[in-house]
Amino acid sequence: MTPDDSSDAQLVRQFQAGDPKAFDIVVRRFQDRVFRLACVWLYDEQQAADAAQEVFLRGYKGLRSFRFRSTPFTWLYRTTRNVCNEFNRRRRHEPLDAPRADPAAAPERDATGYETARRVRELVAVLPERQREVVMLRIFEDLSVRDTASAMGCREGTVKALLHKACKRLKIDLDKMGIRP
Amino acid sequence: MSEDLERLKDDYRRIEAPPYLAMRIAALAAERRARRRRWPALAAAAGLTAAVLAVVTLIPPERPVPAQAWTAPSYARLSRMTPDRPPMAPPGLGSLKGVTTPAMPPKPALSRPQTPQSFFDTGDETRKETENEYA
Repeated sequence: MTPDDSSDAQLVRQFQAGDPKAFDIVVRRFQDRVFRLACVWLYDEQQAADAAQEVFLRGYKGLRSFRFRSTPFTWLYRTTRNVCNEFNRRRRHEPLDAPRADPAAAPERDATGYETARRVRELVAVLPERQREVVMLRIFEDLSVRDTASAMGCREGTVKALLHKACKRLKIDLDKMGIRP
Repeated sequence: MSEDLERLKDDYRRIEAPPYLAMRIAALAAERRARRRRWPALAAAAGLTAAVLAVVTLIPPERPVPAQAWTAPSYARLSRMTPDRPPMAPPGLGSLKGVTTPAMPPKPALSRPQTPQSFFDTGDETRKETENEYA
């Protein structure tokens, strides 16, 4: 079995044992998911890339003492949420005329990603924060109820209840957006 | 789930991180690895420097001599100056009591007083002249 085929937990164990290549595989395996979440939360691809980089650099330090009480992605998700909140807080203090990344200047693939992230963001923006998280993890990231509960730090029943409320509300809002439920 | 939501979900999952991201993270991680390896050497160097600085700081510095401008001494002041030395008491006679000196020799006594008897009494000289006349 090559390191690429190892499970997430095995990779983290190899990294903890001192194998630097294992961390590179962890980065390659999770970078898209972390970047996607950061894109939705930050609404800025350049900042999302910076946030993803910060998440993995924190992971380089933090995964050494990871105790496997949850999955590595759950840990990365929480770190991504914290980093994005920090970026948003910092951005609130920026002057309004501060230079921002121009999505039109990005390559075609990035512009498409930017547009998709914008649509997802607009879809979940109407939801309260907890329901938004459930939708992102359970629907868009396809996490199990258990992993979602672990990532959000709540019970599985809470996840199910939040998802039910969110879907009920999204049906209404999907109509308003012109998207058929 | 509606079809549109499914499509949106598929589009969302097609979002990929920029290709430079993994390389950038790998480079930064390698740099941190190298920094962690350098840390013991840097700590030892810093400790040694701190120790040397502590030793240098603990040595008391020499007191600097204040620079004074030389002024010509006043002769009036010099004339009033007394040597600054402890007063010395002059030796008293009492301190000489114990000094023994050799006794003075006795005063010599004269056999006859040598007082001339008359103006012409020249004594032996006259007699010698007469002796020479007849020699």
